[in-house]
Amino acid sequence: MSREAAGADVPGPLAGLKVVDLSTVFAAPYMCSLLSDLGAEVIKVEPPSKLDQTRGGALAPALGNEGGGDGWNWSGSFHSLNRGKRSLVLDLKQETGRSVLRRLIDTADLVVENFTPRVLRGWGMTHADLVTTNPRLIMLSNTGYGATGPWSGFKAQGTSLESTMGLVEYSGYPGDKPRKVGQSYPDFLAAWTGLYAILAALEERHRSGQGQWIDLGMYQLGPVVIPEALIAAQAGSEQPSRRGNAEDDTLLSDVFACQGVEAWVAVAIEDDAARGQVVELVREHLSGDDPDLDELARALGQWTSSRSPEDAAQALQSHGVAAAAVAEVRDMLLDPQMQHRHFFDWVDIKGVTRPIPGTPYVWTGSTAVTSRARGPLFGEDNDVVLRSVGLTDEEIETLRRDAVVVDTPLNIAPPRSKDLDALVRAGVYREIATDVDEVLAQARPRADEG
Amino acid sequence: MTGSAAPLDGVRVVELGVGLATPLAARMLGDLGADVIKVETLEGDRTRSVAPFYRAAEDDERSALFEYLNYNKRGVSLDPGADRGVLDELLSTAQVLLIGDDFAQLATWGLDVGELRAAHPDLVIETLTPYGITGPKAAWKATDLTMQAASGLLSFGGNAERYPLKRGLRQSTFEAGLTAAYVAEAALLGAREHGGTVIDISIVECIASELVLTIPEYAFTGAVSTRRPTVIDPLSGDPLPAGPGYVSAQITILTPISNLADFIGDQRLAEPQYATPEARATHAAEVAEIFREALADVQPRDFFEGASERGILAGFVQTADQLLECPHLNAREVFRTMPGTLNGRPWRMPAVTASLSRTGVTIRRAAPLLGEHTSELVPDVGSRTEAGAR
Repeated sequence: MSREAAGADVPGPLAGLKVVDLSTVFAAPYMCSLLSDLGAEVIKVEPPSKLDQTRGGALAPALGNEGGGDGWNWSGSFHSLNRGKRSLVLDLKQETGRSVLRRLIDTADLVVENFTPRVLRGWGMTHADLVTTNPRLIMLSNTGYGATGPWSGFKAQGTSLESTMGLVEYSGYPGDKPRKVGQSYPDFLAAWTGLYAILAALEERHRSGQGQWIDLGMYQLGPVVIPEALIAAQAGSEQPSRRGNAEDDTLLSDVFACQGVEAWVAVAIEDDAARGQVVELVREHLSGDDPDLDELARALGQWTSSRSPEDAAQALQSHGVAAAAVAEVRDMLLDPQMQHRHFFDWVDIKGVTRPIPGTPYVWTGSTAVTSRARGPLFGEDNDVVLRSVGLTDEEIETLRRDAVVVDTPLNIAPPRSKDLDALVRAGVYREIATDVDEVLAQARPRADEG
Repeated sequence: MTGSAAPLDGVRVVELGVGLATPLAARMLGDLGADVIKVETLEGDRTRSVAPFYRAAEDDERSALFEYLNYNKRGVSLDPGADRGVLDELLSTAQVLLIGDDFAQLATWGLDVGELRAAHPDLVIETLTPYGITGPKAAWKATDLTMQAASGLLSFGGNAERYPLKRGLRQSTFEAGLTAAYVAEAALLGAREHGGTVIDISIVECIASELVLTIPEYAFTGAVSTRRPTVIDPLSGDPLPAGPGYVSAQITILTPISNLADFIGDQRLAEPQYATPEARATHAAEVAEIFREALADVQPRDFFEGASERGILAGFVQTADQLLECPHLNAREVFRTMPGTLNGRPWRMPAVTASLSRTGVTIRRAAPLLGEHTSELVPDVGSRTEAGAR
């Protein structure tokens, strides 16, 4: 068992890049872990008396749902979003803590933060302040609405932003109210967009030698993902309505119930050729050779109802029809395609090996891109990081004595285990699977496969 | 922002893209100053025929969606059978090659990424296809719906009493396009020291990489996520009817429900039976009713701005029309004027995602006509085929 993940020793394309991550929750922490996958060295700076929401609480599934002890170290979402980082726990409310942070930032290429804007202004640590001693520094500030404009002072989280951003208007069942779909889409849009901006700033720095500041407001990513609606609005044509799973450019697309509990297959009939193939496949459920789309959908539903989602999808694909099982996580882990491509990365957590979502690509070259390690334990790298900025053992001891640096959270009760059965009764989860270990044993690549 | 050289000035990108995601990724590199050459077959990218059309000039109508995904590019059209050598020459002048969104694009152009890599060891080669270009499902047909299904996202989208529901419009485009853009930039940075790479991106996996909570919930605790129950806490961010539209509000430890009760002027909301998310789920109908009464005559925007000014996490469901008129987005100059007219008027699309203090995004040129720059870029071919088709 080791902290490092398999393959972590091959450098990535961003080897040598040093990142200070002051951020929490989803978007900005994920950005920094994806930079770590690409080979950057990332130091997550955490406060002594407030846990990242993915270390404990509703957003933190702890290994084996165990509470108590050092439960803040074993949350799966934390390890997914903070893989490959080091952790330094530093009290930035004390001037001594801030001066340590300044020393660290003076050695860094990039700072990523998602504080309320007044925090860094109050500490005299805006980008404009920091470049006076480190002109090559790039900094990304992630906020709900960005640093300028009339709404810039508003509070935001992914959930509250989502409606305002636009896509919710265009998601929903036919004739029904708008719906939010997925967990926190704005956070992921922000993570990828942030990386695009950071890497652009790095390219630019190659030419100019100077860093710059990136103002990433999540709200403004909303229009980017609804171009069809923006165009329709300006063309005076009909706005895209909420219409369930019906797609543009298909004759018929929807999900169909299959054999089993919560078993569904998604099917999209794109053209007449595909329509003819489906007619052939489901002929036994049709009254004639030329069904309308409603009758075809009904017959297709009868046909899928006696098949598993994967069998139905395979059969449709073998006839050239777009289809896929509606996969749950278990299905993804056992999916031969994701296994072939090693989509999941596997990290050692407290003596067992667990999957986390990996990079969505296969990278071939003299560098490697992969999860470098599990996420850091709380304060796991305090000494290593402090020494790296030139602090002596005596100075570090003083920082600990003054609780500027701590090794366990201050005044925080360990996370409690969740009442999973109650969450099933409330409908948050469908069930608590009992065969996870068997599934993981089956899904995990053998050592000789890498 | 002050004038500094564009980050990708001097970088040439060749795009063999059809559809949406690959063209978007290539355009985003163009927005950073790269010289993007879109190479199409003689039939052209199918998005050229997607309505509605904007008017570029008298008797010249072009797809608005194609324009949005393909500005800042030049265009060449080639016959994959006859012009393979021309394509190879073009690639020898490029630093990045993007291929997608269909797996069939490789066959169309007779390309093998292994051979390409051997022939162009310093080139960043990126493919962007539904399932990736290797593995048993590489050739599977796919749409936005089936990709959302395979990614795991669909399994917890929608209402528990109904059926799995996809995100609206074509979101796989953006999940994959944004990923492809940043990964190409990272590969370019790495290429200076370490040479070229082949990056085989799966659109399905781009969506799956969002499941940073759902995957560990299962793998760490066995919990299987599902569609949302009908009865949930109305104050957890879901749209609630208000006046002519919908608003949302989210109560957290930092934004107590008493603030919201004060704001909507109904102290019933502050009563103890509505204090926790669980309690509000139990009394969901009553909470929704209090809201409905209080907000019956309220404009959703007024609720949003008023609540937000009081530090409450709030939102309102906006349409495309409202976003285009949004004072905040306009103050941040998010939209840029596009070429020509749409429905007889100038039109705008979002052009600025993140704001860099010294690096701006510019729209330097409109999307190319099919083969518009063939003569300029590959004169031998250009004399054979002339520009013209939409």
